Amino acid sequence: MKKNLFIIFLMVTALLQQVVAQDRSISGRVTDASSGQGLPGVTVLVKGTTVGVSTDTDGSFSLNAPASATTLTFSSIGYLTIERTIGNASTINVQLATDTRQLEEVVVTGLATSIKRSNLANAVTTISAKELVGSTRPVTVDAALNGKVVGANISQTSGAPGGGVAIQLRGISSLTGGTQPLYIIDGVYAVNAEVGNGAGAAAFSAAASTTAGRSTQDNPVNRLADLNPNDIESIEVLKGSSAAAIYGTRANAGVIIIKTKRGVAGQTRVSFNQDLGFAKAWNLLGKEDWTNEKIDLKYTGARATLEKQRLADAQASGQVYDYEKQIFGNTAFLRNTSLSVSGGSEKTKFYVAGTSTDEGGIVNRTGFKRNSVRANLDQKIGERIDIGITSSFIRSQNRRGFTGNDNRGVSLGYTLGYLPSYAQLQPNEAGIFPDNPYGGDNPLAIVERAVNEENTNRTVQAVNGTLRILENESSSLRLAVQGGIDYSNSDAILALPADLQSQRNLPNPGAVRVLKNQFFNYNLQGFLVYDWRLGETINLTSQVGTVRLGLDRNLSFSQGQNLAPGEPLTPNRSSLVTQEVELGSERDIGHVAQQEVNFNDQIIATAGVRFDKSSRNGDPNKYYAFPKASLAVNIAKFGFFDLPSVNLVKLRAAYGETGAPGFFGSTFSPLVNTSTGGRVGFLPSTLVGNPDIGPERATEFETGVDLAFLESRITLEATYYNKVAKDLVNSFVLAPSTGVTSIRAFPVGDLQNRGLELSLGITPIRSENFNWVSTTQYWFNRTEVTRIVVPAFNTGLGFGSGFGRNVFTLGESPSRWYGTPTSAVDNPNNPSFLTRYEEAQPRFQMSFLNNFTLFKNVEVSFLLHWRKDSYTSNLSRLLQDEGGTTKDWSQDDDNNGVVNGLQRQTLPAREYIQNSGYVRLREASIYYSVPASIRTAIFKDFVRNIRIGASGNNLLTWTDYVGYDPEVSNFGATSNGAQVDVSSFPNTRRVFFHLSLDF
Amino acid sequence: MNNILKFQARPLLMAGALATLLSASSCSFFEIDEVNDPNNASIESVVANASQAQLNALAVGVEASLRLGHANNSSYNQIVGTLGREVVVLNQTESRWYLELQGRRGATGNVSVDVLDDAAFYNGQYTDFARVGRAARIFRASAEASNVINVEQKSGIAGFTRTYEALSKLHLLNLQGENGIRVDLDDIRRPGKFVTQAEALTNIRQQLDQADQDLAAAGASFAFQLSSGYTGFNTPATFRRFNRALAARVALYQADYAGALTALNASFYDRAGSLTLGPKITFSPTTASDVGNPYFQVANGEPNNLVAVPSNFVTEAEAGDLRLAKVALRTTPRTLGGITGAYEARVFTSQNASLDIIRNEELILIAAEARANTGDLTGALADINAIRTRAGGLPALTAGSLTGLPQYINEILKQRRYSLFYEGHRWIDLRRLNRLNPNPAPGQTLALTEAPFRLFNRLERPAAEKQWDIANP
Repeated sequence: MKKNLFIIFLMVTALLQQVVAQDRSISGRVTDASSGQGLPGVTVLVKGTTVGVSTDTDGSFSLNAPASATTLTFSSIGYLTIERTIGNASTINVQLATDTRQLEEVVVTGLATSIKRSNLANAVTTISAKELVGSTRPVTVDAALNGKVVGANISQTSGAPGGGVAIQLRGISSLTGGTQPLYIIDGVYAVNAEVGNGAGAAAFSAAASTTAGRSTQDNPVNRLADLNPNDIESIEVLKGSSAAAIYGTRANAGVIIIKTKRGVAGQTRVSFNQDLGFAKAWNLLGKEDWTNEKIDLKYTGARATLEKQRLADAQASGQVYDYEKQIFGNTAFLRNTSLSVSGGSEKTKFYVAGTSTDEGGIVNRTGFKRNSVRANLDQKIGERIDIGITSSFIRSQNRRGFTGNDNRGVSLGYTLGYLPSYAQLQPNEAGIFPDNPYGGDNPLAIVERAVNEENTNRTVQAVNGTLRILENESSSLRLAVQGGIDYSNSDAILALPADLQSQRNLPNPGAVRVLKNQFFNYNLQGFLVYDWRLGETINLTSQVGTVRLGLDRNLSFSQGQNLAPGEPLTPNRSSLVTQEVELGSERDIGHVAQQEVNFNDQIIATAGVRFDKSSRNGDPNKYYAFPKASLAVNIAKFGFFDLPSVNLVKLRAAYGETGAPGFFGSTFSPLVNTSTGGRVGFLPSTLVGNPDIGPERATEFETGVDLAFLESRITLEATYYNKVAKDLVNSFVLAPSTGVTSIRAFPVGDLQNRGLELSLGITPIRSENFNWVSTTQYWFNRTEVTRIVVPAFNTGLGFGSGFGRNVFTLGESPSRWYGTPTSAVDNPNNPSFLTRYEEAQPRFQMSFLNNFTLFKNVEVSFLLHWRKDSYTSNLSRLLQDEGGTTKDWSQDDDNNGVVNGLQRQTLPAREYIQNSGYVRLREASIYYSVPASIRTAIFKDFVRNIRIGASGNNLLTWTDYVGYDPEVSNFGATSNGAQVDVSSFPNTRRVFFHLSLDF
Repeated sequence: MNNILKFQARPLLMAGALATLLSASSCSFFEIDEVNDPNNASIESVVANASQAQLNALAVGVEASLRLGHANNSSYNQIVGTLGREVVVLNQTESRWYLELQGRRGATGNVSVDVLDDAAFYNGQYTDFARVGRAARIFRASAEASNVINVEQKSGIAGFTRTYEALSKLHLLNLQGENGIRVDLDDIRRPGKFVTQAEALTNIRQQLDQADQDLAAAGASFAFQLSSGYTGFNTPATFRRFNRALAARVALYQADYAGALTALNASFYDRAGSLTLGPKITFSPTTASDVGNPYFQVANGEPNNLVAVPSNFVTEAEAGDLRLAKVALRTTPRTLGGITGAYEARVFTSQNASLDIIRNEELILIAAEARANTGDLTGALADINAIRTRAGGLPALTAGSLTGLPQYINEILKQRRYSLFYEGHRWIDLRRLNRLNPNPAPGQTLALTEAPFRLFNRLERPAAEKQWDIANP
């Protein structure tokens, strides 16, 4: 029977080719099954042909189908694809149901090809625009991913405006090179550097007191903050080497592929979005007021008398303050406005958008602004050539103030810890701030007068072209070329006026630094892709291609100290000028070959290899190979259990390798500049290069099963991975007696990351008036050093064993904490005999995302995120304990006669290595679409859609952590993900009100 | 058939055109030029055939390197000053200065610390002083392999660099005390084992002696220039006097008093000469890549890092001692961690003030101690009185006022305390004389020593050193 059908099919096909001319017109409308609204951009295709259109803004379509057409397929990302028999109908209206696990969406597997999710052999997480920012408006794209990517450990490292986010995909894969994932925006290798400007340098807060230039303690923003989340269509996360192998030596930490929105053919669509909101610190540490008895606990002698007098004076005049509230307790105003126009014809499609974001900070004179414009164009030239242009320009501004670690009294949180509530720091009538006798400076003066500002101009441009060289029944050959640039130029200024308290006491009072941070990334690639068929059941895709990447960097500053009085704050007006220019240049070249074999959508096998060379390797023209292979078996499609309720039973396994070359400079043994007596000189650096360095390499095997039942109302994705980072490049710590602290880059050992990722999607209720979609994710990662060829060394950036530090040593995780007390008897295995504490990586993470649609026009959603038992080295309470300001300082929890605030200061590292696990209501929202009847009554047909809503970020947090926020990090994104908190910028709770209009 | 062939030729053509285009666009699409360090010169550039200008620059580097361990956040004089209770660093944002380094934890400091951290900020100067040796070895090797200088000039560079290498080791040994140090450091990948304190002193002394020989064969002038800090010591002959002064200090540490006197004779020791005579580290904050004197602090300022002085420095002084000008009573005392800093250090009066490497005042005190220990009490008294009268403005002691060696040593220790205050000596003196305790001598006490305070006689061996030895048994 089957065979007969097949013959008939062949005959029909043959017949069809003779009667192409007789088309007929079919029109209709595609709506969302849950909301009833028209769905734009749905692909309507005559099955078995390339004839098709996209629906317009309203969801309407009309197309000329060949007379022979029997079936139409309707597909759109995020919705289940359906087929409709045409019959004699000339109008076909369909409703599409949302797809919890999008089996039909395409996922990038090569640099120029993609594959249907149902045929994918890797667990690739795809985040749609709706999932990303459909609920609320996190300020940056990376913050918007938090809790949504199974297998990712994401932390918002700063609550400062503009954020600062660290992402770790499937554990630790590099200690030095790319510890953050590779971001690719519309094919452009994006700049995501976290560049400190020197807020923590010796001239400013001196957090890194020995660093003159830029340090890890500058509280920087990562450059992904420039990207407007509203422009994003979807994000794919290639978490491990098996999925990312095709990206070779830049993909060790995973790849995040971002696609921005593009036009769809049809009526021109205008969308306007207005979000207004506010942000407030969700948690303040609080304070404890003072009594004479308490003063006696902290001070003695004349000082105690003085303090008592100050307290009495303050109480008498009613001038007792809550300085934390005054500084961190403000409400910030948030605004986000965007306008987009999209549309086009079959030949030309466009998407043009402009967005303006203005987010105030909870600290006065801080904030983040971003204005961006984007134009994405697609043009078909004739039958064979497609050209696409992606163009965007961004201007962003950051004002972050001074927070975090400090050695000068400039950092706000740090100073606050030591500031008693009876201190008199308010400015007088003339606006003059009194000196702070309890710290290096008056924090109120710092808020008003210190400058830490950065303006970035950035453009991301990409051009891609496809030439269909050959297209026939059984094969097609196309050439896909692409070029892109990402150019960003930041101008920053840091300034502390000379008459600030902290400056007056310096030998060279007053500091100002003017910086320029310039990045130029480019990429060029060309691919030949050949799709061909063997028989009727085997589809093959072959591709070869080549990629060239380049990065040029110029980070420079000019700094002046000993400033002349008054304004303007510029190094020109100083007597002590220092400057620094840091240039960098990287070039990578890669060649790729990949072969896919698809047997009837039942067995899909892929094998490929990438050869890479890089200027960052010791030998810049030596190629390194990164192979990959994968296999997916769709058991449900074999037909031996033909149950209609089973949509997908897929077993999959994949292996792949990625790399990371030594970082820029790893081959250099510099003679750094010095001078004495007015003569210039060479001083050997404490670091020496390794001219033999090659790339580190992550090899990953992942396997899993994907299941979908009941029209995909129940889906399960389960993945186990084993990623081994081999020849991990790190500095090789030498005996410092030699005057050399380390060889910059050395293959120090291997590291294993193993983990499990589960993602369960359920649609418990799907009815006319109530729709509930729920996704539950669970994941964990375990890291262990499996080989080490150098002495055990410290990783991460702790503040010493008294507060906790991390050690790279055999059999342990490099993100585990160690600290005091030391004991050679109890801890013989640690080189410094330090006590072993907990792991910085969470025991597991879980997220619970739910969407409800009521009566087709009310949408409610929430995202709960649970991070279980992660540990952070937290010094925030120490500052308050030392200052006597902790909320519970005078209490005596264990009734031993010593108050908490004094007792805690005597404790070993245990006190500081704290559980930073949390359960957080990360996002929650409610939206209401104004029904068509009301809408048309007011606006006639001018407005197609009106939607209003309210949403929130970090609305509720349950945690035992005693700092401002369990996610923050004094050092930004750290290589091992272990974080240290020193009075960081408080994280905020954000609430938004939304209005969106479509015209 | 024919048709298809023709069709397939087009992709090849296209691919070829693309390849041509790409290779024409840049110098070569598929080639990567080696990237050299765009920011710094490389060590490789001086390994062979260094030019005169490069040798000059290496000499400047060696000389400048000695300030590194002072101009950092764990300045040598502050660390050893804290350990020897000469100063108390009342740092508002780093409590370890006045807690951990003085042996306690907690605001009231009711818990003693038994072991210092082996990887804390206060170990920073270890690497800084090790760099002095590294800079010296690189310069020496570069000079040996250079064709632009003659044998005498090479010998001069060998003597200069060996002196600095010895100085590097001496600083490390001072910090590490009985932990000892590594002395064989030529191969960074295969450093020698740690040797004991005594063996290290022997090695340093030998290195100084070898440098002295090198300098003797170095002709009339160096092939490089030294800063104004070496005025009077910038020829091989005069630099030797500096070298011998260091040898005298090492001999004293070895308790080789005869050797100390021999070395002093070849040094610039001069009982009647300027007390500040001697090579110095110069500072210039306004010169690029130079720094200001890190020990300068604004009078009565409220800097974050206030170097205060325990009051016993003043109360235990003889009335009228001019050297008390090295400290001053603050208008507003600072209290931190239960310690009130009434006095502040004012040894260095400006950012441009130089820092003595070794000076005549110390040499006179070395002479006094060496003479006393070799039975020349008269000579010792003359040296003591030179210091008392010239440095302190105090009356000379009569021969009868000191009886026996111990009283001489007590007096010398006292004079060293005031003459060399905040210059990095007190802790080392007390340790070598086995008097690192609350009451080192009659009328001399150490502040902040009662429990839970604790005196440490050395810093911990750095974690990286321990780990190196574990991995390279």
